[in-house]
Amino acid sequence: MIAYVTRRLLATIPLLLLALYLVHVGVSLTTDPLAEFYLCLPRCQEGFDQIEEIYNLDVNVWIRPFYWFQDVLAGDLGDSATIGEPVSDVLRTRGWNTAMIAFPAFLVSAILALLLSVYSARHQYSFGDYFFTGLAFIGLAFPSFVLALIIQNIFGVQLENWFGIKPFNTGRKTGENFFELLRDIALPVMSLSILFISADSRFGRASMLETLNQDYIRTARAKGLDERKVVWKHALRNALIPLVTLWALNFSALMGGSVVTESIFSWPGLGPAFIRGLTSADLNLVLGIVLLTGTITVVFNLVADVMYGVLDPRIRLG
Amino acid sequence: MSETEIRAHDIAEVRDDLTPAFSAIEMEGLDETPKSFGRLAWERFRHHKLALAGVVGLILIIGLFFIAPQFSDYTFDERNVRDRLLGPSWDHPFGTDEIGRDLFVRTAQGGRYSIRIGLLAAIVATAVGTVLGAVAAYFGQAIDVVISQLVNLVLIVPALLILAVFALYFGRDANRLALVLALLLWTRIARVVRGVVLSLKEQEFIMAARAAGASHGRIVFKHVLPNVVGAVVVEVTLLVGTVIVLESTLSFLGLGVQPPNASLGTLVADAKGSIDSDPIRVLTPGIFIVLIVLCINFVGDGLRDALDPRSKVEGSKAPKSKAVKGVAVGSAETPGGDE
Repeated sequence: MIAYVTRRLLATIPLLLLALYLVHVGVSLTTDPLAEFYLCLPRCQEGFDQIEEIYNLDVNVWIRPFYWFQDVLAGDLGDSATIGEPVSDVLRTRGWNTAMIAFPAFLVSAILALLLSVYSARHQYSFGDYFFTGLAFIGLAFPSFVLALIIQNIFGVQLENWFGIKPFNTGRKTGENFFELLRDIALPVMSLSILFISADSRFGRASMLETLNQDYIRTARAKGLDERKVVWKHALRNALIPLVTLWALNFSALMGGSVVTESIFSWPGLGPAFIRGLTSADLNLVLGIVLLTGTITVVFNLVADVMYGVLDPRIRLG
Repeated sequence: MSETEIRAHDIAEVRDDLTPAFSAIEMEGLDETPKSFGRLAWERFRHHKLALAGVVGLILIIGLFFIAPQFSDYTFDERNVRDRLLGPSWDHPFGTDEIGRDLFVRTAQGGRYSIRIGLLAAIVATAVGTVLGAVAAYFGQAIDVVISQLVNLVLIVPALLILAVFALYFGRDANRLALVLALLLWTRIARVVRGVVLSLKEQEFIMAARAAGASHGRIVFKHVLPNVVGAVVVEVTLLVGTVIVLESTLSFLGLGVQPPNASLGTLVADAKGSIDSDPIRVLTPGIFIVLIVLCINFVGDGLRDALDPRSKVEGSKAPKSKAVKGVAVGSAETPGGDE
């Protein structure tokens, strides 16, 4: 197992480096950090030179990434030009803000999806099953921005004062009081978790159904075992296997920051920072975020595979 | 598929030969012409109510987007400032925007744009994904590692970044946008195809073809790929929906379709500022995205049941366990774990 994990990690490091290299080249080729300086050139020669110095613009585009790698190895992610802080600080504060809604959204969606899929599988073709499956179908068809806009409009505007909208805009510090915090994160968490519940519950229902139809479940029932024990102990363990891997992937997707939902709720997480970096040619910021999200993706993909092997002994990780 | 057809043909011939001799004997089960796989699939599909509803819905939406605007007096970029911000009326079914453009015609144009990008991107992604996935699984070893690492690379780099960079580099008209989206989405198909081909290539009929001296190209295109069609058709259908959502999201963020063209995403973005006073304007294009994707998902679900040879004619009631396998295989076989 340890050998497998080490080998996988070693295999993904070059991949991550290649990804960062390509991002660096791609962004350098398509954007120009000097764009604002050309018009004022004789006067702002100093700033011009400074920018050129920071981004090593005198070096060939294909060589430039190596200077960035060199700095990163020395522990310096550079400064973000648009936010005006070191990228590592930006990642820390923004990452924390993202986690503030990503982690609750993950918990809520995982728990609700599990309950819904067990219910739907146990009462297959009942009214409740059709109802929830229908809802999941509709939820799957919703683009995140439409969902977030509707939720914001209904709960934030029509039902004023129920929930906090845009707490960061009003200058109020979030997290001083637990209930205030709950109010502030409620709407973004709701929009994020609805999307994940729709996908997970259909998946979990299928998995649970397949397990419930197996012989050992019939045996367990035939020997007179309590139905609750059959479902929650015997069946759930096997039905969970594919769900757990899905959760690992969901978690990495959420922690990487959700561009659309965070933007709509003006939540200063990683997502809006990424968009800002992209549109204003803030290369260091973009690379820092790609480094963070890429690492999260790689690690949780690995976690998903390892969990799969741990939960299902038939699968051997080679 | 061809094998079942040959068998059906053989049985029919044998029956014709035998009938004169055994005319008195009712041949049990053979007096019906056997049905081909396509016929059976169609029958299963036809009994899937949701899938039929999806088809009907798609036809209606396409009619609304492609034909109805012909009867409108307005064009999608015609301004008429005197009639700005009108509510829905007989003349302007969806109202007008802040510079007096007819929103029905604009929505239809946006819908056409979205559908076009969706279809094009899905087709290209499928072609690339199928070929690369099949090649990776069939040849294995170094080729498999390279292609699998390519899939992982696309997973690591954020989709938005790829889209933004390529959009800046190549421009943003519909065809190019579709190609860039395809560049992102082939990985899912490649994973599915790779999984199917991995299990196929160990089967006897492939061995037989190889023993008979068939070339690699012939085996891949004549024997392997026809067996992948079922899985791929389902994925393509669902992919069209994914592309439409992704494209509208991009356009919403301002990274996709650029004005004066409109897509359903840009229409939502345009109306977003006035959502508090006029929520209907946000809802109309938004609901159309939801409806299109919903119908596509219904059709995809019906196709999944219809093309699964294990399901009976009452396809709609078969437990949908296929989805579980698809994803489970995908994540268990993430590359790097070469044995």
